Amino acid sequence: MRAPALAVLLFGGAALAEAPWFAVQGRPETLRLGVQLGTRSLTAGLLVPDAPKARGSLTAELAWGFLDRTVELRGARVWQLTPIQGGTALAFVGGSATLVPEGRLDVGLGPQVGVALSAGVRAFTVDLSALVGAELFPGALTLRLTPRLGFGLSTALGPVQVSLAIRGGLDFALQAAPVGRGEAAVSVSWLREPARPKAN
Amino acid sequence: MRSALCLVVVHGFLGCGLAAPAQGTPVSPSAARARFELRAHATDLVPVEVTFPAEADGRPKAGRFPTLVYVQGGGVPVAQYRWLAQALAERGITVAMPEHPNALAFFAWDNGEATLSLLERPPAGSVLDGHVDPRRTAVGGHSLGGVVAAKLAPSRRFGAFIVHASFSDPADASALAGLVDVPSLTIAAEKDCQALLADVERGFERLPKPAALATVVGATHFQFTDSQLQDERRGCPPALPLDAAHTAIAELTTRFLQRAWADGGVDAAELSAFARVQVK
Repeated sequence: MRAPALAVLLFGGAALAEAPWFAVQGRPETLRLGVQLGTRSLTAGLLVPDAPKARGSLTAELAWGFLDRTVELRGARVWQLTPIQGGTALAFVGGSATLVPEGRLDVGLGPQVGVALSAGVRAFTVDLSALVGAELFPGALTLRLTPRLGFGLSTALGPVQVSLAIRGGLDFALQAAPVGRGEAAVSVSWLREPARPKAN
Repeated sequence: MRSALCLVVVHGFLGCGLAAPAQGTPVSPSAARARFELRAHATDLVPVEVTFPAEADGRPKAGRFPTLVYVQGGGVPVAQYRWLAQALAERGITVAMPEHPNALAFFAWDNGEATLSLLERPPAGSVLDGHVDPRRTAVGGHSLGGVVAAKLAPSRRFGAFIVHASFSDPADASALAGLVDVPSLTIAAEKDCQALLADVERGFERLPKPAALATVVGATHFQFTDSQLQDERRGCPPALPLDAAHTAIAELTTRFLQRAWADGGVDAAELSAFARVQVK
């Protein structure tokens, strides 16, 4: 079972209909600007907390799929469910829009929901995520369900966080064969920590 | 100016249209190759390498030609099957080979069916436009590609199917059982260490009539590609020179397809000059 799962993660096509990757890297209370280079896409994104130390935030990403020549815009509302010892549990609800400019012009739209768990210390964090999305492409008359699992490792040095992550799953569409999806990516983010309270 | 801007800026990010060449690159005096792109699964850009009967300058020959969609083996680049595509094109058959993510057809196995759609409705002005006979189509593949070809066959969009050094997924047995009027050819390699001859023979038994099993004596698994090096590295050397194996595979495939398209039949006599043949 492990071998096929690993194969999907490493060898599948682009992991489209995605929830934002930066949403699952923990630390929703911290302002983040980041760029990510994956095996099939280049992404720039940000995460903005509602307020310093808030448990809610908004995230947005713009991804260029350089192999498929598509562009995807993703956004999500992220909530910190509860801090756990040595980690954070998150939930997010969002959506994506995918532009397919060549051949038959098409735009895919759809929602995603997911949960994530980040465990560890600032110097080393493990991120796990499970998400599911749906995307409708009216031009291709395609509606697909896109479950994904993600795994990542992060380390922070000062205001900079570096992460390695993989995400994979299957796309399910009516009257079509399932399509394997997977991507590995490295990201670099600049974090602005919330201000510490002044001592009296 | 607009074209230059498109090429320099936009193409780098979003492209200027899917590739649909109007002329091919000659690979021999009677065959040429062109690279197409198609969209599959709404978003996926799938390169398709097409080798077709052509004039010496790469223009397609006059007339409509039968087509074979050929699926690559697991982890084997499409380029390693160019020898077969060229051999078939020189014999009057257009071969279209879609690529798959990381050369693993199982993760996007309906790319072959999307390729057939490209052949049935080719881009206007391309080398395929007006040169495809939609009544004579087939799907085939090597190794994992053969498994995928057998999965595509039940769609009934192909007039015949071919399995090279492979066998169908047992889970597809009931779907294949209904294809009683779609002829099939299984070509086995006698000294195959990957798709063992006994397994290929069992897979052949699952296929409906009319079907032929042709065993190339002395051949090995990777002789269906352009190199037998993988066989030698795995301690499985062939007893047949690569050129002879290629000739046998190309002739068996061509003769089977020509007969299948002519009357839907299979003739052992036509195939037996190149292999040990079993027909049902």
